[in-house]
Amino acid sequence: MRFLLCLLLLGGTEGVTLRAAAPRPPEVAARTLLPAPAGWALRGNAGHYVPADLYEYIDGAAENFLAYGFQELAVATYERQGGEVTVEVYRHSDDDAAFGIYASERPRGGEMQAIGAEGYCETGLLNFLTGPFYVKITAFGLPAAQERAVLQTFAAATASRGPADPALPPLLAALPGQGQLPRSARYLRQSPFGYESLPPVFVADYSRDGRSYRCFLLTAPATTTPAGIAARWRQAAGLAEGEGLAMSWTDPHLGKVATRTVGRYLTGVLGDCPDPRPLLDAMAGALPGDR
Amino acid sequence: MGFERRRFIQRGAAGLAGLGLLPWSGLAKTRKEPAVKKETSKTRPPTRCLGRTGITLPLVSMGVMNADNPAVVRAALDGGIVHLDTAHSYQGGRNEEMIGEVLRGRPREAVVLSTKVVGMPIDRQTGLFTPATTGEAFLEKFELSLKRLGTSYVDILYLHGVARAESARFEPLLAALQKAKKDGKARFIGLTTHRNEPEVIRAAIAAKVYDVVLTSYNFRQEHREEVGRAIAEAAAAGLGVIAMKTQAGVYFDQEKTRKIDMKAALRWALAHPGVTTAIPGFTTFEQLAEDLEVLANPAMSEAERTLLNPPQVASSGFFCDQCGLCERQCARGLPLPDLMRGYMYAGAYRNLAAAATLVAELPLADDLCRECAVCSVSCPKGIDVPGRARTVMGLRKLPSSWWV
Repeated sequence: MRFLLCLLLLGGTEGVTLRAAAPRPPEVAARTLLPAPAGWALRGNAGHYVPADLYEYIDGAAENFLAYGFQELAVATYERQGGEVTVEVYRHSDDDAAFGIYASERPRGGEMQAIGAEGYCETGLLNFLTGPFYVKITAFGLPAAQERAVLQTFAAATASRGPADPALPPLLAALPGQGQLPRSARYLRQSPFGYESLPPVFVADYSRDGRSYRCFLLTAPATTTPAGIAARWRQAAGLAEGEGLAMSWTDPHLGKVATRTVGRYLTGVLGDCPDPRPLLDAMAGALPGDR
Repeated sequence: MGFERRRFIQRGAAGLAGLGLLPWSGLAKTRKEPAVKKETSKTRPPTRCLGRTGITLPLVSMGVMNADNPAVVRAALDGGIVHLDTAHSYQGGRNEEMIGEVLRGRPREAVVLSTKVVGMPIDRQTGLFTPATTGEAFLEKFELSLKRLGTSYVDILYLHGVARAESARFEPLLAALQKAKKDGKARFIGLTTHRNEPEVIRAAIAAKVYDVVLTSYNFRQEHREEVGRAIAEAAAAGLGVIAMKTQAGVYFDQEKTRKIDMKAALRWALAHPGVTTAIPGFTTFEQLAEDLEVLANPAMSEAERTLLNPPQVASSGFFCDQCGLCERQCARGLPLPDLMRGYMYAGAYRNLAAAATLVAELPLADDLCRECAVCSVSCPKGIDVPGRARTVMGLRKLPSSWWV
């Protein structure tokens, strides 16, 4: 409503398509999370970037952020006694998308941090996830003994200005825990597994008895069914009619695929898994009741 | 690296795949249409030489930056792509790690690998390095890149994101690049640029230390002819030139309703004889199949040339190219590109907070056109620049509480 009023007051709707939008929670600007820690001075003004100009800040790395529904970036650099800390607050379209970009950059190593929904620390940086925000904090020129504490102070100050009860996406809990490789869970938002026709997918990596495979689940959009998505996948993979089973086949690039429909969800196991049935059973049992 | 060795390796690999002794040997035996065709000895694509490096490449390579699926990268290599391009910063380092995973088990010399490191810190306003920018920090990042890639060397190490001639000849980073080459960790060195490309390319030529330039080059650049001339000068000077951003944003419009023909866009860039190869950033098997078609047949048809003409539309929409012409035409030199960007934030992205912040921070009087009786600005894309500038400045009159 305010947007419409703004346009009317500004005296024009040139080129603007006014359309009804579904109700959305109020957006919180990324810059409201930028902290003001005691003893640190802000260098210049905070920077601000949107999809059209994010590449000016992070060059080609911008493409990955755009693929995860990037909306805006607020960035500020703070100085104190020769050291500096930069805080980048990336706001994405929704919590799942923010988890997606966060997990795409999350290392298998590093030290986990109990900040926001989840975070991790490596030399010179601390990144964390909170709601629709992906926060990246980097330090430069600080004494090694102080660096970790400074990063944590900035992280805490930033997180305190963000969502009250941040959490990881609930559907992640439906992926089987046994055998799951730590920090392998991902949300693949665009063209998961290399296929344009697939909707976003939650996936995690597994290893057991020297075999590697992946478990995944996706929510079928209202316009199709889980079986329809499986059929679309097979077609995109160039499989002939009748090749393999309707819900189980060998993908020419990805290997063995075993899927099962659970309400609106398509669950599956991908790769070198000797018997996917227990994993499919586990996912079916763990999915929310409102299928 | 010559093609003969690679074909030998692929024939050997194909034989092993037939025996089921390779991880990717689980290929379906019957298909309607294979998503990606494997290169065979009968389908040898055209190649070009990368300057004076001695490296010969097919005209299409892979910009891996967006890809996080090793199966797509493997399919690209199996399909005939030789050169993979990544960077230290892509996906927080996970992109390099993924490539390292793909290369495991493949002969290292079968792939031409490049990575890029940014010189830090850099003044983002001026594009210049600062006295705090050191070669040591650059080489530390490069060492980490080698570790992630699982290799002792890359074929090309780039200084990433150069926007000014002064940055192209910044001594501490030139010394770092040359040290990496001398130590055998980088076979060749180069720089990358996607701003002020002609200036940076010419600075790279003049520096006489670079072997390769990676530059933005596409049919939609306002200054594409000047970029093309600079590319020709670089090629004549013996530098290898690789093209990026060839797909020109994928869509003609910000609303993403009018898609650019991707094969035509790629072929347009490859039509320049000074360009050795391009690195489109594909992420799907479908996109890879298109790019392999171009790899096999890079020649552009007249029909494709027509496809690259922007669709005629009644309204220019929100999209401003940020070419800067309006600022140069304005009698008062107003920051009109910034105001056009603010208009896009408000109108296209519906982000009033971003638009209002931008407008508030510009040192402008509210009535910014009052000194001119007639406007001297004429946008080549037909955008009503003065009208939009006055409109977006109106945000200053509205309460900021509406979007905080």
